[in-house]
Amino acid sequence: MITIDKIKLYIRFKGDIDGWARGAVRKKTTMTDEDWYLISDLLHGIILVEKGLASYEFEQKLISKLIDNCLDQDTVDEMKETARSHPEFY
Amino acid sequence: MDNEVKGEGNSYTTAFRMLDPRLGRWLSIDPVTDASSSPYNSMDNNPIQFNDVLGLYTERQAKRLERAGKRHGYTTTRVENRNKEGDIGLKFEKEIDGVKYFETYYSGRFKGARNHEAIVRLSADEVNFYNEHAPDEDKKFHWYFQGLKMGQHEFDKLARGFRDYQNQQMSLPVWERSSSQGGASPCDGFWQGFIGFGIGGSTSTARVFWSGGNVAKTQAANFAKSKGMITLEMTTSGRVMNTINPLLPKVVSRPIWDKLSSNFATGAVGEINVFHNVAGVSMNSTWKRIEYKILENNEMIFHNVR
Repeated sequence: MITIDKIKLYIRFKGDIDGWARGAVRKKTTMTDEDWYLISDLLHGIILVEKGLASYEFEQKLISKLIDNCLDQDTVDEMKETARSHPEFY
Repeated sequence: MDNEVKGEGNSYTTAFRMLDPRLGRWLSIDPVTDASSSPYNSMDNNPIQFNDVLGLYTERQAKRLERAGKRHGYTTTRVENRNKEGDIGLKFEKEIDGVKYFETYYSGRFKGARNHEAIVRLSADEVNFYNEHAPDEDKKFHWYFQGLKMGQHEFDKLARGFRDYQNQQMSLPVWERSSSQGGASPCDGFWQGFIGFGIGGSTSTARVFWSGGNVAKTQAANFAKSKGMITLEMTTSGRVMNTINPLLPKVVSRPIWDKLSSNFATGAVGEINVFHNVAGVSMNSTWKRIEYKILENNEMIFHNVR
């Protein structure tokens, strides 16, 4: 499940999964490899939709994926904000 | 408890180990091992002639270590630990390519003031190196090591990290310490590896790379161990960084890891093995940003992991 803390961790490591695997303090985070790839995937999806490059079906799938995998609406908003404010991540 | 079980005087406790005098054997291995004798033996199997107050090494073992050092081209001298009365250490010195390296091993623990001294020495060298190589915006690096922006708590944690690393080194015979860590010489341990951003690995050792989180990292490490190869994390510098990484701010640790990755990739020769997460390669990963650009002309064997 994606949380705001996990998104912040992703930002902190600038999307570098290798850097995170090397440098993170394990005890302090519940982030997994799958979470990392999921955040990356969702960020890509959000920006594709926002730029009008995705189909209606893709957009609907993305919305349900966001709802299914994010803890709450605040997390979904944070994800969208991250996609807009950090274009260097994708 | 031991007296109750074994009887009065049938177990001796030293600073480092416990001895069963009836067997003449220690109950755990020697923190300072000597390749020519069992790590469980005590007083060099000769309690009449030798003593081993701390449970580390005896006079005869010290002589053996000195001789082994000399055989490997080191000048070995006895030095007194000025921070601990009665503690005599062995100092190994060697000049390699015009640079003089040294490392001292005391029979006592590495703690307190000595670690403090070590940190200060790191500060000075680190500042010099970093000021030479770091980009301008990262020049503030040294402040974190000179205690000016570091509280006592962080300082203690850092000292503990170094001490753990030293203890890990202590579990190996002195002349094997760096080679088993992929280093070029016994003195090529902590300081040279870290300060020089050296990889400390032989160029002939095949290198294994990975990208895509902990699964790829773990499988790459297992593969490297089983095949006698190395990953960046298995090198001297990688181990040191793993130890002190949690104590460093990201702005400091990231450029160091990037530099180490770059050096590690540059030193790779011949065929290399790469472990990738099946989920894909992230454009922001260290592999994609740094290592792949250097290695793209090498022959690569890819392993997909999940």
